[in-house]
Parts: sequence; C-alpha cells; structure tokens
Amino acid sequence: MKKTKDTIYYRDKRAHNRFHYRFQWHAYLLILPAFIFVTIFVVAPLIISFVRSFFEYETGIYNKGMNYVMVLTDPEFLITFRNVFFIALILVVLMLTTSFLYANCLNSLDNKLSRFARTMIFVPFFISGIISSLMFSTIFDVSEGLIGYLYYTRGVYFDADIPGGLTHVTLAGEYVVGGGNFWPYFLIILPTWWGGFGYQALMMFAGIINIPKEYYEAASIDGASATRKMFSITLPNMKNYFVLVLVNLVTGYFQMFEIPKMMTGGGPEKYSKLFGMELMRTESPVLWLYSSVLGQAGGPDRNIAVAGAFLIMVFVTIANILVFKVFKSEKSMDS
Amino acid sequence: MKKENIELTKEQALLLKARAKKPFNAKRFIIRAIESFFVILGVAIILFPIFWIVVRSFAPNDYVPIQEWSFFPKNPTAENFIAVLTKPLKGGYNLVNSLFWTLIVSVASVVLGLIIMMTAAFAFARLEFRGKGVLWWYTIITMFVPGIAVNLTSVYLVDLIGLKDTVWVLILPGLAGGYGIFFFRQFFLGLPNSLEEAAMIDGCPIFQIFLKIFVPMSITPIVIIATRMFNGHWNSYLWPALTIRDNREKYAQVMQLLAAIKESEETAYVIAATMVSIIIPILLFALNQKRIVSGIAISGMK
Repeated sequence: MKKTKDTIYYRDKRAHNRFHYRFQWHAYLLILPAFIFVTIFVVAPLIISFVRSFFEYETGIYNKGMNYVMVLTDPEFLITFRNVFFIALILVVLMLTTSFLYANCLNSLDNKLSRFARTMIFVPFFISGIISSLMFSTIFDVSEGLIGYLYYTRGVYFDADIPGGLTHVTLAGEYVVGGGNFWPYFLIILPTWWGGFGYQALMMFAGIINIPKEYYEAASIDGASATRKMFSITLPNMKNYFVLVLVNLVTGYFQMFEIPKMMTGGGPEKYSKLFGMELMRTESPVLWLYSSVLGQAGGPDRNIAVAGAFLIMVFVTIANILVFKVFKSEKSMDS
Repeated sequence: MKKENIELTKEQALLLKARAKKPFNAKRFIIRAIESFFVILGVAIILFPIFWIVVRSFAPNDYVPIQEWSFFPKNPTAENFIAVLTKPLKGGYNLVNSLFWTLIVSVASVVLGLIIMMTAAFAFARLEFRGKGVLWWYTIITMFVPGIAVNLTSVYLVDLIGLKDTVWVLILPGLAGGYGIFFFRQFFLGLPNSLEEAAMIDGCPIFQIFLKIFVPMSITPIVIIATRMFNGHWNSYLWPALTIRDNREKYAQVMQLLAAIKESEETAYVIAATMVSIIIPILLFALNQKRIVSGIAISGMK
C-alpha cells in the first residue's frame, strides 16, 4: 500500500526531500532502542553462532564445515527428524481439518452459542506447553487419572516398559490396543492439538467471515448446494489462510520442545513401531539440540548443536520469508 | 382477522413474525442441531482438562476418583492450595514468592517492550528517513529466525555482558520483538494521515503527536501485544533454565512449580500448583476477552 501523503506541490526534489526527511533524526532516535536490543540479543548471537559452527568445540580449531557433516550424519539427529515428521504430519492433518470444520460450524451458527464457543476455545492459548503437559499427565496418570479409570473398569493399562504402551489385559492374555506403538505419539499429539486448536479455529473463522457474503447469495440464487458452495466458494477463498496456517504449523511443530520434554522426555527408550516403520523415540530435533546446553547426557557437542540449529534455521526462515513475501505482494495487488 | 391479531401477546406476535420470516425447515433444523452439537463438543473437549484440574485440586490427598466412581470429591478441601502457597520450597522460596517475582518480571517486560516496539513502529510507519528499508528488515528479523539458532549462543553472550544470574536477563532479551513492531506498524499504517498533519502544521513536536494521538488510539493492539508478551514471560521455562543457575526458582514460577512437583509425589498437590499457575493468565484473558478474541484472529493475518 503506497501512502498518498504529499498532496502539497514541491518546486524541486530538494524541497520535497526537505519536507519528507525533516524528522529524520527523530526517527533514528525512536528506532535506536529497538535497534540496540535486536543487535545485542538477536543479530550478534546469530553472527557468533555462524562463526562458531565452523570451529571444533574442544580445541577451537577451524574444521572446514565438519560440524555440519557430523550433524547431518548423526543417526540420532536424522531420527529426530523422522520422529517429528510423523508427529507433524498427523498433527497438521488433524489441526487443519478440525479447525476448518469447526470454524465453518461457528460461522453458520452465528448465535450466542457460537460467540460463547469462540471465547472458550481460546482459553488454552494462555496455557503453556509445560502447564498443559502437567494437566494431561495427571489425566493420563496410571493410578489416579482417566487411564487408571480404564484400568479399574476395563482392564486397560498404560505400561511404559512394554513397547506397545497401552495394553489390554484379558483372561486370554495381553494384547495391544490403540494402534500398536502409537501411544507415546498420542501423548504428544493430544496436548499439542489441544493447545493450538482454539487459535487455529479462530484464524480460520476470520478467514471465512472475510469472504464477501455476495458470493454466497449469488450462488444461492443459482441454486447451488451447500457442498458446492463449500468447494467452489469457501475453499478457493480460504487458500491463503490454509497456506499461512500450514506453514505456521509445520515450522512450529518442527521446533516442538516443551511438550515432548514433559510428556515423554524424548522416550520411550526402546524402539517402537509405527505403520511398520521402526521409530526410535518421540524426540524432536530442537529437544536433542538443547540437551547439550541443558546439561543432559546423550546430546551433541555444543558447536555441532549450533550447526544443527543453523540447518533448522535455514528451513524455518526460508519458509517464513516466502510466506511473508507472498502475502505482502498479494495484499498490494488487492488494494 | 385483524381483531384476533390484536389480542395476541407480545411474545406470540414476535414468534409469528419470526415464523413468517423463516418457515420451519426440517433439514435446516437438523443441520443446525448437528452444528450446535459439534460446537458444544469442541468446547467440552477444550474445557475438560481445565475442569479436571479444578475439580481435582479441591480433592483431599487420599482421594482416588476412579475407585469412588465419580469426578467430584465427596469432601472438598482447600488444603492443597494452602500447602502449595505456604510450603517453603527450593532455595527457601515458596510459590507465592515466585509468582510475585514472575509478575514483576512480566509486567516490567511488557511495559518496556511496548515503549520500545511502539516508538520504533511509529517511526517506520509515519516518518521518512534514509536506510528505512534495510533498517526495517534488520528490526523485524526476530520474526523469521527460530529461537534455537539464537539461544544456543546468546546464553554465552549474556554471560559475557554480565547479565547472567540477574533478573535483567529475563527482562531485556525479549524487549524488541519483531512481531510486535510489525503488528504496531501495520496498525499505524491503517490510521488516516490527516490525524497528524493538522498537528504538524500547528508545530506540534513529533513525540507529542505520538504520545497524544497515536498511543490513545491503539488500545486494541496494545492489549493484544501485551497479553502475548505477558503470557510468554509468565510461562517462560527454557530461557530461565538456560541463563539462571542459582535462584531460577525465585524468578520463574514455572521452574518453582516443577521443583515443587519433583519434591512432592502427591497428585493433588501437583494439580493445585498447576491451578495456581494458570489463574493469572486466565484472569487476564477474562478481563479483555472481547478485544483479544476479535484482535488475535485479525493479527494472525497481518
């Protein structure tokens, strides 16, 4: 959006500039605090990180990008990507469908109930991953939570030592319920979905109410059915929102940290299987990288962790900037 | 016919009017019923964990819900809350202490952060200066860079400046958030130019224009950014864990909460502690819910 500020006629370029730039020093003064803080706490660490990632941690010798090679060939790092890929895949599909359908319901109801629901589903936004993990772990608690309830009434119990996780005890013996070794994944997926659902549903809702009502009226006059309206009006107009939400979700889940740390701690230690594939843990890349600084065993060397963080940064930053640019250009085209 | 109509009560007349507008449609009624059902189901699923901890936090310590076949404890007590709030914990601080310090840290961060972000956003939205484009991208870089790429090194950097183990390390790094600056700039760009032109012609200094015209007009974005920032600081876990060694339990209530949970094995205690921690953010939300709900949805698109 270009501003149409200068309606006054300027005789020459210099006079024009003099008017426009007369508050230049005020502007620099106003930006100065933000500039200093960004430099100290964001840009300086980034540059130092970049330099660090080319040096060996213990000796401080330049090692020609070996940190990047080491982190890319580290089986643990690659496995964390695979873990988070599965979790993110399930979560993205779940989140997009549930939030879109829910937003549709909210929009077509449009009464007191809908307004009440809009406020209520937003409550988890104010509860952090740590706290929601605590809440869900009391729900899943073996002795006192809902799972304990299942145990006392149905004979189903959660056992972290058995790779299956959720097992069903019957007279004939034990067998696994809940989709094989899906259980540890479920422990992460549910709190994450719970925490993000309200926000995403409201975003989708904002997208739906932004679609001009005339489209639907015209479609009704032509005798279009509700499904036809959904596929020919709502979904094409929501395309941008879907892209935005998708990128936000993928980059967000890629960096998931608090919930895996609290719910499973990156475990279970034993190999587990999902859809016939062997997965090691529920550990996410960020959780693995932070384990070096948080002083836990099993993490990478610090400079290798920095190299890994840079690889993640490249992915996330490119995705973010692309979305930002695309949306900016579309906005300016609209107006 | 006319006489009969006059004899109708007000409610009946209204009902008739409504019916006349939209004749009863079985299909439409069923669709609305299904939609209502899903909306209520969603709210129920979202609220269930909160309901669970509220109910459980009032239960006595030896209470096991599954054996008594009910969610509601028979003899509710407040002893869990008293224990959580008074028991001295790690480092000699109790949870009230930590909550108080976390509140101070959060409020200080929000106030300082709003000043820094709004002034910068105002300059970017309303003033012209050389190097604007480059400075703009430089300032909002935090919007694009993930925390992991910065945090691994800034841990050492704050040690170098001498901020480590002080309360400032929790306040200062988050002040110039790219998202906040971006959001405020978008908002300022949307305000009409005539606002400050009249004041400028009268010779009003630029800082006064900002303070007297722009700040009072941007209550909604202030509320949104302030809640987001407050929420982030209130729940911060990773940053205190990385940067504060000695009394992280004092300055970050989440750390104190986790320490409390580690020391005590009783579930009721854990649940009461969790309850205490979420009360303030939820109160904050309840006070500003209209502004936040309408604003957040818009803010996501900007």
